[in-house]
Amino acid sequence: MERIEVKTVADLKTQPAEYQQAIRKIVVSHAVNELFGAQVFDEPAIALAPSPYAKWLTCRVAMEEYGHHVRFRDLGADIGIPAEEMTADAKSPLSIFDFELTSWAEFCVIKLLADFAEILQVEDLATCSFHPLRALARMTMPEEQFHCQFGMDFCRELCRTPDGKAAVQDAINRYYPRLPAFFGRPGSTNNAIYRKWGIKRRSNEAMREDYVTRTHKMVEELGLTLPKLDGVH
Amino acid sequence: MSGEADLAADLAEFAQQASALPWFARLGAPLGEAERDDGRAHMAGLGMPALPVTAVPDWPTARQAASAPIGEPDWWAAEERFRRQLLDAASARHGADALRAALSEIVALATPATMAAAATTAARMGGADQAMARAAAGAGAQALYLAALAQAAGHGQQHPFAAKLRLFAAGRWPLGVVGGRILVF
Repeated sequence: MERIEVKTVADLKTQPAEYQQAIRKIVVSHAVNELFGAQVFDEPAIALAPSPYAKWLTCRVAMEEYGHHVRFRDLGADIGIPAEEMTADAKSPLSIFDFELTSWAEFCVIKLLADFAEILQVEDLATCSFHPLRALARMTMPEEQFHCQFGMDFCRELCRTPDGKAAVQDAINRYYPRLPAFFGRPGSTNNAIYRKWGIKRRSNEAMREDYVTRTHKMVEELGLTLPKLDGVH
Repeated sequence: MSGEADLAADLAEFAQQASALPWFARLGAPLGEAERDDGRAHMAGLGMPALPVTAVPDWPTARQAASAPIGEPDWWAAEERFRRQLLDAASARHGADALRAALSEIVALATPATMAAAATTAARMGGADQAMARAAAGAGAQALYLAALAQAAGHGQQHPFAAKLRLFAAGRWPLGVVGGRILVF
């Protein structure tokens, strides 16, 4: 099938219903999860941060995550998604947020591993056939990269002491097993539709494999390990 | 409970300030008397003891000061107590949803403005990495949020968060209390 390029919100309205529905699903998912993540992780983490520098940086991260929500919400409004459909009441947030945040080490691990997972998703959207979503992904990417780097920098700092290193490893062991599910089920119908229309490039399985390979390297840099996961190599 | 129009009017100046303030324009400059007064007013208003106000000359020194764990007196915890009280009072006045929406709007305006200003000043002065510039931007936007919250709760220019924002409005970055001194970059 020839790849389509949808350059404007107005052009979206002339596309097949399946394409429009696929775009709406992605926009709603990002609008909901960017906000929910900021509320359950980033904002509470300000209190856990160990110094003013870390607190202000965490403030900044929280603001940027809210900003991502606002960007996706505004795009959603532009393409006719009612505001009430872009809330956690209407669409359940991802299971990666179902984790009680209790320590600074946990937050740093979440930024390192969960925001890296988000980077892979945004990477795919950065070549999306719907140009307004592509532009938004490209705008969001540097900030997501910064959030992941934030996680790496503070994990590295924590790993300078034996206690800190143990806390980071423990957080990885408990949080990492939730992440492969972030990429969706193998053989997903939604993902097949996204690829058919050039909205995403990779299958869920390919993205998950890439994620596991790259996170292994990141964690090795810290002198730590990832826990073994069922069915993932 | 006042209406959304009242809240918007209350906070209009903060929305305007988000992009209009000369964020970080005078980092590292010698302190003026008004800046010392605001540094003292900020901390005294939080219940901190009287301490000398000292200028921080450059980004590396600011990074070192801001990276120190918060000791006694715990000015951050005091700010957080004030913030929670203000949040309760302002929510009772305006409604929690309307307040959240109004403050989010102000922060959304401040987020790019503070980042652009911090990055520009950091590049001009040298000695700052990207993360430190982002921390500055976070501090600036947070100060605007706190001052707007104080205003929404019915407080005026005497509130410690108003004094803190005046320091940012003067192009400075208050770094809190370190080693028995109030540090202002």
